[in-house]
Amino acid sequence: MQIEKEPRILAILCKWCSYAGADLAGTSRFNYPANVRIVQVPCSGRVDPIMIFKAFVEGYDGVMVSGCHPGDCHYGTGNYHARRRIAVARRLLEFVGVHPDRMHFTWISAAEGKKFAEVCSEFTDKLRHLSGTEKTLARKELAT
Amino acid sequence: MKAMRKKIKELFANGDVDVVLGYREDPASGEVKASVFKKDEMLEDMVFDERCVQNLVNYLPTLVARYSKVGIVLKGCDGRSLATQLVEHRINKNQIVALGVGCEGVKVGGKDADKCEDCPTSMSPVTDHEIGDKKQKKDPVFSKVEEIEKMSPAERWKFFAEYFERCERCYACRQICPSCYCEICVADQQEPKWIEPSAKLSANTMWHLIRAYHLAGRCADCGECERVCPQEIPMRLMNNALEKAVHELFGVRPGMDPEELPPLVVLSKEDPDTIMGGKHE
Amino acid sequence: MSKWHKLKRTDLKDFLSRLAEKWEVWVPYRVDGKWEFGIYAPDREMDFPESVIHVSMKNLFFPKRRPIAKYEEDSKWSMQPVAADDKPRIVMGLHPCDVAGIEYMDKVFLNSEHKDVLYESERKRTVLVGMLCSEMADNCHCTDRGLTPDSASGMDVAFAKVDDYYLFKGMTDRGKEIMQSEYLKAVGDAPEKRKWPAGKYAIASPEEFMDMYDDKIWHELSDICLTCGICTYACPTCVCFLVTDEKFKGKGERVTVWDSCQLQSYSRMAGGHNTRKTPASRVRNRTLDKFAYSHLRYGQISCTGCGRCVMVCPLKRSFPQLGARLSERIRDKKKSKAGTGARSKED
Ligand code: SF4
Ligand code: SF4
Ligand code: SF4
Ligand code: SF4
Ligand code: FES
Repeated sequence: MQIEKEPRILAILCKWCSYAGADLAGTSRFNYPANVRIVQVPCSGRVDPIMIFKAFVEGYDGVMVSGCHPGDCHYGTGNYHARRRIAVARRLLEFVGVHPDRMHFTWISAAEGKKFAEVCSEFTDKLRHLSGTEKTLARKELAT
Repeated sequence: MKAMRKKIKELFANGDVDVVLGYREDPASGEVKASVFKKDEMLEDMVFDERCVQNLVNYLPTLVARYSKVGIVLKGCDGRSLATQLVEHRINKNQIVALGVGCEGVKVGGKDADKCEDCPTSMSPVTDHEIGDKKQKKDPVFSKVEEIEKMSPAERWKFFAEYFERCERCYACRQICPSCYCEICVADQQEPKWIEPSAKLSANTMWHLIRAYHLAGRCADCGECERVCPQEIPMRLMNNALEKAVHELFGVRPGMDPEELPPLVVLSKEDPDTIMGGKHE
Repeated sequence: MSKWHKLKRTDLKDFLSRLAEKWEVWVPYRVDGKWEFGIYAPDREMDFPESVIHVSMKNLFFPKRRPIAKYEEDSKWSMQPVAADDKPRIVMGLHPCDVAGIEYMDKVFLNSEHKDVLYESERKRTVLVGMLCSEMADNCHCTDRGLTPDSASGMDVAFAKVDDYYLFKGMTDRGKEIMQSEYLKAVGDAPEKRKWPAGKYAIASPEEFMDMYDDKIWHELSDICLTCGICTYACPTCVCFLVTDEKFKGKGERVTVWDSCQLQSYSRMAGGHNTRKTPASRVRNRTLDKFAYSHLRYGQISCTGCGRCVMVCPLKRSFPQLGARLSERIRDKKKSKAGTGARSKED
């Protein structure tokens, strides 16, 4: 039962920085909550907001996206595009009723294993606080 | 009306246009519909008044493929719509003769259209010829969006879910929209199936989110999607929320300038990280 | 021959409540200004409108989303067919055009070649109680399609509204069971037959329509059509569907979902080729399907003249007018052929 209440988080991470950062968090044995499921993408510029929408509709409690710091994108400008897209997608999601605390967008480099662990813990904590509020958008049944 | 007919006759006479896209009152039924006028044909049935609601820009791509010069009668909102199409290179301006008409507002179902209340342009921002008076431009007001923004997340969702639930997924909203012209819409994609084809709340939510998102910074608020929706789903609310967002975030007003690229296809290194929400050091 | 029976309007509720003890009774309700069928509830205001019931009865036999098989992760995803519903049901207030639509659907779903078992069970459990129209509403054009507004053909029970009572008559054995109600009193006289005006637009024959396949008129006829699918969703005889799988949390369903030949995605094939890429070709498909293909295949044209497509079209395109325009073109073509003895070059 306890486990049911734990928030589920989808983290979409760019391969070159943030995913490597998550890796580093693992190899350096930093503790971070097990609530996070990671999806690796080649670049934060690959993150289509439809992925974020789908995650909420399929019942994730929170979505996190992270890429290389501005200026460090492996492909030059992917993260600048991502920043704009995410900014707009976030406004739309908030507008239809997703709580702002359910989304987290940030930059984590390959060296920032510690930051990754911290961000995950903070985000999980935030979502735990939201556990009493309605999980909007999330579907309940197959037929709905 | 006289001035417009005179102008159009002149254009035909000079060979400046092959056809003109305008509004025609069907003499039999009295209904006003979109129509393609050819030289010396039906011009006497052409009308322009508050019944001319439909945005004709959507028909341009098919027409420019068939004719080399196409005239089009434009209200202010249609003109904004045309601007979005020009900047996306969907239509070549050289093939278009834009006839801007000073618009006094249109009526939907006997009432003043909602979109006219907030209309920032009584005259098209793109014109070759202007007919009628042009009113002072004003900034759009987003009073209805602000009302929603006052609600709590749960209240907002309750409001939208009730509407989303009703969507039939007929895609009239997509078909009428000049900016929804993808060869293969994401809603028709089978693999991966981002949006399930059946009409149910979860899939409808996906549809409405992605529709609104794809039009962010491109929607010029012609209001057609909402007008044609058989279920009266308030799509303009979402469009306007994003119109407001792109203005606040990037200073862009879609449709007002036929030279300005949509904000989501360009990038800026100067955008602050805070636009993504949350705190950033 | 069974007799006509009288039901006082004031007895309608009691009559329906009694039926509802045994049957699932569906009657028309007005929701947000539109008529649709709903399960009878004594405290809800209902009526039998003269105008067409906006949300067609198609939904009751062939719903928009219909699970046909289910599977679960635990069972290694092995498929179980969905069990058919067999609770007896009455649908009351169908118009003659609706019943004609059901007859057409029967031909599609119940022919010996392909039988749709779920549709069959929906049909088997349903007693069709139809209302004979006493007037033609705004968009009605059934008389153009060879139907009569007060014909009881295909109904299990027919009824008519007269002054302050209804006249009921059992037409089939299944229908007669309903007629056993204590609220119905046998009377001798049948409802008055009206003389209906002839159809407004003369329609050409299916074979003549087929000849129009290559005509250039389709561009004219499709000029402002958005090719959205709403007319086909509203149509009682548009029965195309797609089959797709939907999964959520370890459970899956294989469902049929309405599809529409007006949508671009309908005819798109693997690899991206589309056999009906232009709006003109899609409008042609729908038109010819209604007036010709249906007749050639099933011996019944599939437009029943209910007028729903006109009501829902965002552009108020009129399908009856379109049919008429086409028929006019057919006549013109014939004339010019007869005159010159050859196919005119322009065509
Ligand atoms: S027009 Fe309305 S009902 Fe049709 S798909 Fe769009 S939102 Fe849904
Ligand atoms: S989204 Fe709606 S209002 Fe915006 S351009 Fe498209 S049809 Fe017009
Ligand atoms: S909803 Fe998106 S994918 Fe579909 S046609 Fe519109 S812009 Fe294209
Ligand atoms: S509803 Fe109207 S616009 Fe839509 S496909 Fe049918 S005829 Fe065309
Ligand atoms: S490669 Fe990391 S954001 Fe582009």
